[in-house]
Amino acid sequence: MTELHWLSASEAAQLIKSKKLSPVELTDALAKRIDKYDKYFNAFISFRPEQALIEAKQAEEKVMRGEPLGPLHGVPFGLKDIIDAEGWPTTAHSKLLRDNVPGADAFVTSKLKEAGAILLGKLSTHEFALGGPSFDLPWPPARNAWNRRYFPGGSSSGSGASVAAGFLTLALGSDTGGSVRNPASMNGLFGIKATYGRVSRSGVIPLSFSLDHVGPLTRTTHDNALELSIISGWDKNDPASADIAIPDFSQDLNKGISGLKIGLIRHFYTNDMVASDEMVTALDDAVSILEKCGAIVEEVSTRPLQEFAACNRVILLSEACSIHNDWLKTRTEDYGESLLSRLLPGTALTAVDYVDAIRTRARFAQEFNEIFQNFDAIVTVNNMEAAFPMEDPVLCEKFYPRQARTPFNVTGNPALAIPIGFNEEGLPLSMQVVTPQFDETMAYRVAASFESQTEWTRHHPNLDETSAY
Amino acid sequence: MIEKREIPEDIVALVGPKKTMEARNKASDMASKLDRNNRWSQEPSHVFRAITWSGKP
Repeated sequence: MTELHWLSASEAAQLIKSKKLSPVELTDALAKRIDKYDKYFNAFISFRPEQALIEAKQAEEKVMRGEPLGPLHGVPFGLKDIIDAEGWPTTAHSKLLRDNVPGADAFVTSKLKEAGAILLGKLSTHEFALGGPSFDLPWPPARNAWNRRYFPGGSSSGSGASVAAGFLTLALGSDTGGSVRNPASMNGLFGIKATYGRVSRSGVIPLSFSLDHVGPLTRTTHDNALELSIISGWDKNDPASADIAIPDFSQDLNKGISGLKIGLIRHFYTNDMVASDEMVTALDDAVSILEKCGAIVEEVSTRPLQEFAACNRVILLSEACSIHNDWLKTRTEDYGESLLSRLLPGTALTAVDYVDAIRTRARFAQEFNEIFQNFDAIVTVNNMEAAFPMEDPVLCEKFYPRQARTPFNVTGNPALAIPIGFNEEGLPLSMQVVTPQFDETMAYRVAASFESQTEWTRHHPNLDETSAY
Repeated sequence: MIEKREIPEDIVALVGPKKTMEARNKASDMASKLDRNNRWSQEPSHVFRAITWSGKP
């Protein structure tokens, strides 16, 4: 059998259901692995193995009694530390919220618990999902599971590092300008920002109300579709929540993509920004694989990346400064350097800037709706290059904005990060599949077809080696 | 040419001139890159739709 820490969530749940694997055995194996290696990767802010083992024992008893089981029964999970879990601190990785202990679960936390999953820990993030990687906060920043000297992506850094390292099979992150898809990219994972409104954000510390999304990071397409199915749904406590049917997102995983029309936005990474040669080659190879699967791939043009980025930043920083306005003035010294630097431009934006950006956003979304009249899906780059050394602030500032994720926070379309290989240093490469509003099923269909033709997701980091770098 | 964006005085006093300069340059840059070619009249917006504020049974 596969080593327990490399089981997918759906494999583990199936083994538990058929009494071939005990939730206690699985939870204990993951807890021991975290205990042994997380000191090198800093993925966890809170880690409660004893509590998880008690819950795993209860889960085991439920299996033995033959009771109905949820789809993730007995499977441990983690939460980015801006997502509430009753009785656990939600720190946002910040001195400002060091002692913040919520009295209730976030909507998504309660959904995962209802599905039988067991919370094993709260995970590192960039401060308030914006400032990082930071070395001046109460907890160190998470590190890349493939090489601990490298950036693990952000802001859902611990979510990406923990799943790639085999500490967890699934974790939740949040995505306002790409913060699920960035750690998915840099850790070789699947990570989705579903349609705006698909997943409730109640009980999640906001960064930017109109751009925030919650999404899963996993090692397989199937796990991602499963986890999204569980956390989706209308919630009266999130004003943006969409009251719309939840399909079985995994229903088309084996359908293939023959005859699908896929648009390729190439100018994002060859003209608006210029991606590394290794990334462009990997994308070309990925497109060839899609074509071999029978898809018809055609180049499509949209606005330059910089216009989407400006729209995203004006909205994000205006809303973030509305949230942080009081603390910026009364607790300035409690902010980390990175978050403070990223927030401050928002204090200079005008009301006209904000309203203009919202109006512009509506046009951008409409333009993408028109593109999707002719295409089933779109593929494009995720990051312009693989992960970079994280302790060099100059490199961080240079490479952090080199990405093509913000357009889909602006338009609200589903965007799924997919691993497409590794560079010469053994660091993961990634692309995005983007689909029409509320058609996440199509994104998973394309991803599953691609995954079935490649072996990227069967590669795992050897932590004895990657922790020693 | 869009005019420079300015950091509020109370924030400037807290963070100093270096951070202020960097922040105002970044804000001016992003404001200048925003496509403001909006020519619609009454516009839909997720923020102001009545349904957003309506309770559900």
